[in-house]
Amino acid sequence: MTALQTPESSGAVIPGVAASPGAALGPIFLYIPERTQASPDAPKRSSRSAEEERAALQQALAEASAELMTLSAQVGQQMSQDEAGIFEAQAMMLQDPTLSEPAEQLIQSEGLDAATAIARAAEEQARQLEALENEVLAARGADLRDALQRVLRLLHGAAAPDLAEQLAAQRAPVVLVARDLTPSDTARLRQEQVLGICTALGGPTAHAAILARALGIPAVTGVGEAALASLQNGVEVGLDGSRGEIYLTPSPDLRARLLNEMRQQQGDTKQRMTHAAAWRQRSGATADGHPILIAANIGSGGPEEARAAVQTWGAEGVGLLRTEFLLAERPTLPDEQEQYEQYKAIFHAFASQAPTGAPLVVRTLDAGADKPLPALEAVIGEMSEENPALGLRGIRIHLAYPDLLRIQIRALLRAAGAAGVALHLMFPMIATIDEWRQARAIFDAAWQALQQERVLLPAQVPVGIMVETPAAVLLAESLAREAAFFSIGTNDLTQYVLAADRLNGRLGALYNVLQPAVLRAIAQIVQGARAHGRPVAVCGEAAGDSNVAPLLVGLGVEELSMVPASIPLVKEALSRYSTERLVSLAASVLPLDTLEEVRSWLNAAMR
Amino acid sequence: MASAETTLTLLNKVGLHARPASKFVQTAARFSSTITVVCGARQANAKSILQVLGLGAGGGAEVTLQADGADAEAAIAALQQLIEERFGESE
Repeated sequence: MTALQTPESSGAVIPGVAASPGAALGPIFLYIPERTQASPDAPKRSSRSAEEERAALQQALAEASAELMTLSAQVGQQMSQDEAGIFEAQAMMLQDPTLSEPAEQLIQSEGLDAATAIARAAEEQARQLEALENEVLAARGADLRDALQRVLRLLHGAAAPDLAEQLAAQRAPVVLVARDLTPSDTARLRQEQVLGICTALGGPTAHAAILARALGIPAVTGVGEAALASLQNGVEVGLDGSRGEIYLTPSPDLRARLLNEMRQQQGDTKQRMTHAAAWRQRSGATADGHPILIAANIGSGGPEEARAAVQTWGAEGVGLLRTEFLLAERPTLPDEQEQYEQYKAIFHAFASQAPTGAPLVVRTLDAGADKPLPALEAVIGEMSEENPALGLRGIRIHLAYPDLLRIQIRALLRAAGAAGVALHLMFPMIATIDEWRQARAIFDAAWQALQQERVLLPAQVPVGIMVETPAAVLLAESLAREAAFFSIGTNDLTQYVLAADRLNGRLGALYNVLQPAVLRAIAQIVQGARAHGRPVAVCGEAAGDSNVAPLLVGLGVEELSMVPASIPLVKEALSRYSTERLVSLAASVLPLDTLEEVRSWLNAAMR
Repeated sequence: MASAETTLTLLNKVGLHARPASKFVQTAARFSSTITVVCGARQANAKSILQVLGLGAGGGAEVTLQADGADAEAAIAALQQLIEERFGESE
């Protein structure tokens, strides 16, 4: 980072809206795109016939809206459905006769070229939208202008480099300063290239703000048009996204504070990335080479998340694929074919990076009143319960509505067959042998039906249980007789063993995976599984805690599944201890009676 | 020619903004009837996203749907359901 000027006195502070928390200090990259020519105020007469201009316009509108639909699909998979919705709406605007008919009339009656005509028609519509009192709706005017730029670019055949390309050409990360950022601009911003974002327009709900928060980039919006004049390309600027302030020529003290905060923000990410590079290729193992499969928990990020888990973070499998993403933000349930397509995309992405045979464990739908889903409510009625954690959730919903499970299993099996992945299936919230047997019977029936339909199936699909309820702990030995594997959901297990709501901050230390009761429950699960030679995994947060993971291995857990970014640190932590040492550590910790004793023993032993 | 009409309140937080408006227009486009949305003094063709956005109908706004054509009743029923389901949005 180059400090171009740091005078002794503190410079001016430009106030704005605190849009995304965090600090930034770096050179300004001023992004004021030249709007493509053809302003509505400077009409240009066409040398071509009206017929030719109309055809050119129709083609440009069709191409631009196709581009937007593609972008919408990409963004929907990679980022959020909200952002995807913006692009879809833009595509529809371009197809709207309310826009194209006036433009065609201008071509006909005034002999304008297509670009001028569409610019004038769009300007008229954008002004009308911007005149609305509703702020959110008024912002759609900017969406229309953005969509118009796409059409104009196509009409002029000019390919101006977009923001992402310009940023990629910078040698160091920058503070991005712009009048406003359009959805197209923001869709491909990258955290490594942008330290902070400052925009003249926009409040906390602007695209730039939403996206900055999603990417973890500090941002200040709404500093005003006038402020842009004092922000010059390449000059160092400070930004505090928590306070909503921009600092021109920051004082040495201020620079120190901003840099310090930046380091803290980035430290975590950087450390993880450095470790990731070093540990990506190595498989999880203790110091003496006893293998521990290190897998990723994924769910809402689609194929890209599955790919990155293996490619970037070095996951050796997926230990928990949550399937609730299928239902999020939608009014109706996806049918078997749609589920199949979605699973297949994720499975393919995983298979393209992971070695053949790498396990991919899918948890069947785990919904409940604690995480209500409109699409599910449409089937099972309103999901409001006095006591959601103990209510109709997980496998209980599936057994009450077996068709839901049957369709999901069919889609999963077909997708696994098509993508060639080593699918494992597990059921959440099992509390009785009967629940397990009923769910298993639905699986067997689906399998047989697909065989009869001559659908390509995987060679075998191990079916297991997610152990979360105290009942399943007590029944572990009996369940292990029939289930192919256990995966311990330590979050819910802790909550149920301690009868402590994990979201209730007032319960403090009660909700803790290191509570002796939870550790002994884990030991009992392992014991039950071992009686029948079944493997045990942990897929709760504890697995990704590099201080707790070694203890879990000592307790007999053979697979750990976690948020992808934790994988390198956990691999490193495990490599420090021999299996023997971890087993003896666990043996010493298990008899301890209090959380405090467990903690201090761990601290001493793992130093 | 059949015609149908109903008046509803927008239950979702932001009203007919980008994503809900897209869904609304896409649903309307499935029907052959002419469908008009009235909100206060403004009215819009339900099959035009620019006109629907231009209503400025925020959360809590009251809208009247009018349809004329062979499938008028089905069209109103579908749009009504969409609005009552808050366009599938959580807020």
